[in-house]
Amino acid sequence: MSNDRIWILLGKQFSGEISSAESAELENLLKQDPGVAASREFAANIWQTPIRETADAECENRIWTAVQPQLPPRRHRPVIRVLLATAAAAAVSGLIWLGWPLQRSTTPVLQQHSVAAGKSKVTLPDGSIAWLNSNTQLQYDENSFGKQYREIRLTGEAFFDIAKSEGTPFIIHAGKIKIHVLGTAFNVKAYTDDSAVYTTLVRGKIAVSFQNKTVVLQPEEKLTVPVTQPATDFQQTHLDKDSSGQLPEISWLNDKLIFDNDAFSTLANKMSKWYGVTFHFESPALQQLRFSGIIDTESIDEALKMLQLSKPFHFQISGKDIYIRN
Amino acid sequence: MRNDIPELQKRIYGGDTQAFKELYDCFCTPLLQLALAIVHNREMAEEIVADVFIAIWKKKENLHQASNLKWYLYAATRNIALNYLRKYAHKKTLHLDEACLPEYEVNPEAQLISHEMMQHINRAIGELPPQCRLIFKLVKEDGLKYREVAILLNISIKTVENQVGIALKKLTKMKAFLIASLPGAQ
Repeated sequence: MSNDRIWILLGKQFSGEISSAESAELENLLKQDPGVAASREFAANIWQTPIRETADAECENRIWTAVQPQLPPRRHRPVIRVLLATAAAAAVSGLIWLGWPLQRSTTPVLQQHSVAAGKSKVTLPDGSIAWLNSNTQLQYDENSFGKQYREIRLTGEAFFDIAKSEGTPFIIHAGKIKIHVLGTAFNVKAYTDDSAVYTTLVRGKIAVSFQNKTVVLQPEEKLTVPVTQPATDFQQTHLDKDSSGQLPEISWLNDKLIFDNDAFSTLANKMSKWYGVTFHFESPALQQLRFSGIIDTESIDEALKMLQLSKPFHFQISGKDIYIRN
Repeated sequence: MRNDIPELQKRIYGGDTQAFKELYDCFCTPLLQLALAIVHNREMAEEIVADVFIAIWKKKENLHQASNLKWYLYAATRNIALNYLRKYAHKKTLHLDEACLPEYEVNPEAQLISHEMMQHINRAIGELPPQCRLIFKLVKEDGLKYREVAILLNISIKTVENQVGIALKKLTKMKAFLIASLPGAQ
């Protein structure tokens, strides 16, 4: 019924879900239906009239009494603040305090950002941005960062967009390599279990040094420095962008895990990388189940529950192992 | 619905309990309503909402990763509610139609239409079929996307489109009728 179609389109218009094609369709339909056209303003009025559920104060208080005891004392620092073990001990023990090098004017305050799974965006004090991939740690000394150098240590994988700041070089320590930057965007992959450290430059210019070598990278170049072999075995390669115009090395930055009619086996592969887990299937039939969807900020538990809504299966999470059962 | 959620999110991430209470005051009732619509048991729904807020507080360190806290709250409520349902699967399967939804009242600050008119509109909203009413409320009042409502209620986007259209049509008919019958209206 075309009349219902008008109302559907009006709803989409008021809620901001309408496409331009639908917008044109709506105007067309309204021309043919003066009755609805006349009540369009009423409808808009209704949409703008705020309604409010009657808040049941007693009920809200009842729930709050269950929630409140779970709130521990205030904590101001949003990031995990890891004081060096010695520094922390120094604060409580005079003895160790004496042992602490006195010439050090400021106690190093180590800022540590870690991501166990998923991704996280970290803004450094100089405005530089680091996107951390899963299972990644980034550390810097809050007191000395930005004074002479901007120095950080990375384990795992991160994409950096470094703010320009002449005079204070940005230095990244990752595994056996050291990267000097002046203002640029690049990706570093240096997981401890990787056989090499990979540096991919997107724009700008960086110099990567390791042992006694220094290699200058041009945009779209990738440098592979093996962990175990002699550093002379490094590789410098030019990368090709994929069909979407992106370097495959930084595709992990795309915030979503998208799957479209994927077999569970394929999806499990994607999810293994995304969450850093291993899947175990009870039967091959389970691997043939097909799913479509998008995983965004969901936890693995939430994501699996979401999948359960469309196909029947059971799962058990035990540490980093996910067991899929009938 | 307040529009400074990202600000609240930042403060909660920093451990601000006052901000957390503000978030609670803003979302307790809408989330309770969604939980009720899924489990249809008041006690259980209250527990679910408590669980959601406790989880938010406990995982507040991860809050900077949540790009959309509002959606996060609704999705968490749905997930936890489905968990409860699974746990108590021996109880009957519940339909949205059976869910008891709260009464609506008019926001007194709204000056768009007369008080009397608003009462009529809200009575009319109360007379919509329960699922239709909930979908309309989630879209119009809570500002959720069609796609989000579809995921929350496990229905298709088409159904959301249709239900919003039906609600709008019914309410507009009612209002047009009322205006025509009011003294002084032409």
